[in-house]
Amino acid sequence: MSGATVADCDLSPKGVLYAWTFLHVPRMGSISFGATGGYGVGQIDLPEGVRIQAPLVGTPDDWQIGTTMALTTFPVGEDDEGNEIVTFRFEAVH
Amino acid sequence: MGTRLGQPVYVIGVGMHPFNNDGLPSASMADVAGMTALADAGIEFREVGALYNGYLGGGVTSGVTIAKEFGLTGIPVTHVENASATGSCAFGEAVHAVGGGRVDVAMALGFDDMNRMRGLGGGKRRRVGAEDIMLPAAFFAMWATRRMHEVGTTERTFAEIAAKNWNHARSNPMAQRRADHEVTVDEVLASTMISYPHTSMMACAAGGGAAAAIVASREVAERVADGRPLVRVAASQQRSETYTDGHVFLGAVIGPAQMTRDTAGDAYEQAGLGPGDLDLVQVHDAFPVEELVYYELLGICGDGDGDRLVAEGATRLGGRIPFSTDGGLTARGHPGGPTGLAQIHETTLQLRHEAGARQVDGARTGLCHMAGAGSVCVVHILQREG
Repeated sequence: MSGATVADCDLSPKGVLYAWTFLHVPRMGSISFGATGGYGVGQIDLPEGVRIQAPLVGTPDDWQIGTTMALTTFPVGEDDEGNEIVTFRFEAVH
Repeated sequence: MGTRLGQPVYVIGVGMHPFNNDGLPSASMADVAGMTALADAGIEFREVGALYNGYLGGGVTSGVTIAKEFGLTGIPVTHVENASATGSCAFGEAVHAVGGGRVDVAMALGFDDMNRMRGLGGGKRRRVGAEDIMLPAAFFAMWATRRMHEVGTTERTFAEIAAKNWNHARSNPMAQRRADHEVTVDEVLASTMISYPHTSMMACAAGGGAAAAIVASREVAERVADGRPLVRVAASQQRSETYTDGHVFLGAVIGPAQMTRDTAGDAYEQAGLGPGDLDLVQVHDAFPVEELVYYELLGICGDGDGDRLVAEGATRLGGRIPFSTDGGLTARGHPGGPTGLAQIHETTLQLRHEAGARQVDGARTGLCHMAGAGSVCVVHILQREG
């Protein structure tokens, strides 16, 4: 591994759900999860061989290990200049 | 890639302040644990050659300040921090200070109050990113859902492990969660869901507490034994992660599972022992999926056979290989800094046959395993001589 050549690689916005859970926590900092009572998080295997972690859109009924998941963004606040900051999450593709 | 001890090292004294949720000052709990360990060893603080303090939440210099309570003897006092594995690493440093010939007697002291700490890697002006909103509970829960998918583990098996640890803690005066009744699997399953499939009674107890251990050379250990059996540190190993398939670099909390297998392998090699030689084991059971997986990673059973071990009751007190005999992180508690030293405390009592109602019959060899966020794994093996 050490000393091997590395290269930049574009990652696919779609992958397969490797593991998931649903956290029963109503909010995190400034983000409220409202009526859902919490939020999902998962690990998604991308075709390039990368496993990525992210919050999930939806409810536990939407997720099964092996489900195809696609990237989406959501706002998490503003920076000091008032620009919107977004991060990513994944949702099931039906 | 294991590390070595230059000369044999013995545990000569242990002490604790009960883990609790009472908001007590860390300094006074540390004082109780340290003084109890000194009394247990039958030595005075002036004989201690080096002190390693393990804490996460005390702030800069707390360890040195607390050390002054024991005496201004001028010894080197060092702060060790490695997340949940802090106490285990402080113990490891003390062991190596003696094993490497730096001093004849060294003390490890852990103290903390998890309820007064900020989050992992806490900083004031932290941005909320995708991985920041994943609490540690989420990572363990994802292990669990993946395990359910691959092995067919049920929520009931997780609950059985947690109930076992709650019940072990019932006879441990140092435990934070001491139920007044036999805790049932149904009760664990019915408690508040935290992060599917883990409920609140499956989650480790966060709280405060302190624990200490004193280690020494063979010469000192024999001098202070006072008729008690010697407890030797047969292995002291610590690792960080190596690359594994499906490696998750950020936020994996305690790193890849393989790290436990590798660190345990180093420890077995150093001790010249195998998993079949163990009489009892303490692990980082922050959530029951961990304990289940560690049955396999520590070589107690084959991969995927952990569920059967639970079904057979092999890992409860009275079983073939009891795990988390003091209640584990689940019920003895997990204040942070002292947690790993509580494992040493319990194992030392067990090997001296001083564990009362929790005593494992004829215990001679015990293993202590801790994992820590940022990717730390520590394994100690203690063995009774004579």
